[in-house]
Amino acid sequence: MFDHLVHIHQQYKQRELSIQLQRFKTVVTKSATLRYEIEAYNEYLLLTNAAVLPIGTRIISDTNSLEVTTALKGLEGLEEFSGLVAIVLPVGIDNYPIIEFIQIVKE
Amino acid sequence: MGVTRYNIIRLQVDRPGQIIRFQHKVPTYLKRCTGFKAVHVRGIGTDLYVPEIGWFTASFNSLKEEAIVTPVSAQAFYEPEETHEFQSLDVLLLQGQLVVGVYLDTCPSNLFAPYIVSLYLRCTDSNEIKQVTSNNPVPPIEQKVQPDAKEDETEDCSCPNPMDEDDEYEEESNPDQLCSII
Repeated sequence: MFDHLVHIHQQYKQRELSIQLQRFKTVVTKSATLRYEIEAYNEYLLLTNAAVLPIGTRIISDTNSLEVTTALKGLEGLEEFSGLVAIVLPVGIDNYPIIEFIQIVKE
Repeated sequence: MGVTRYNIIRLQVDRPGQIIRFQHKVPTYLKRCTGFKAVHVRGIGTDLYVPEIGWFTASFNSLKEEAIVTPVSAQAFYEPEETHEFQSLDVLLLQGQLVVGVYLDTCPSNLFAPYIVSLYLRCTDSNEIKQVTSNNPVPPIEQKVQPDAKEDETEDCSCPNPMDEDDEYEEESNPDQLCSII
């Protein structure tokens, strides 16, 4: 069974990074706003609920970019973002999701 | 003095807004990357310079070192201002690890056509830090210039080296002045 937290610790151990803080961070989206920006400089945001995001949602950051597709729905992997993180929701969605990340602050 | 090798990561962009992930293994004999250049190779024809058609991000040593975030521009078709300058980089490479990154297309939709971009990595098998990062080395500045009142004062700016014992250099009234016209 894939355990997110074990995976995260293994990942950062491989990269020789020590974790100062690990916690959940959420972005609550609402109608009429399609673009959100989060500053995640010197830290990482790991997307945990890609499966509930509307198809076509784009998350663009300084280190990684992602577009939510149907193929992504079945995957368990955690996408990692850092730097300035922009979330762009597609036009014409009915349900505005809460986007959840695990925030990792490195030493 | 080590040898320099260029690693090329070439990507084909087929649709607007496309996100392309890549990973590349740098040969293990290369020890250090000293420069990079991100270029549009072909595909987008434009009469005007487009400063940004996309972005490269890349990290070295299997995600241990985030080193590159750079835009890619498209040159005007008729008057390309080709530059062969590499941007400086100083990454010590660990053996057998990956360069991992993403290319994100941001080309204006009215210009978009399928195109190819390349990321060039300049790497060396030497561990020494290279001082000159440009491909066009600057000729050395002459240290001693004969004073000549007729000389055009706006053309040249030479600084006597205060560390050079042979020169009789005296610090003038403004010690912050790094260079004075002689």
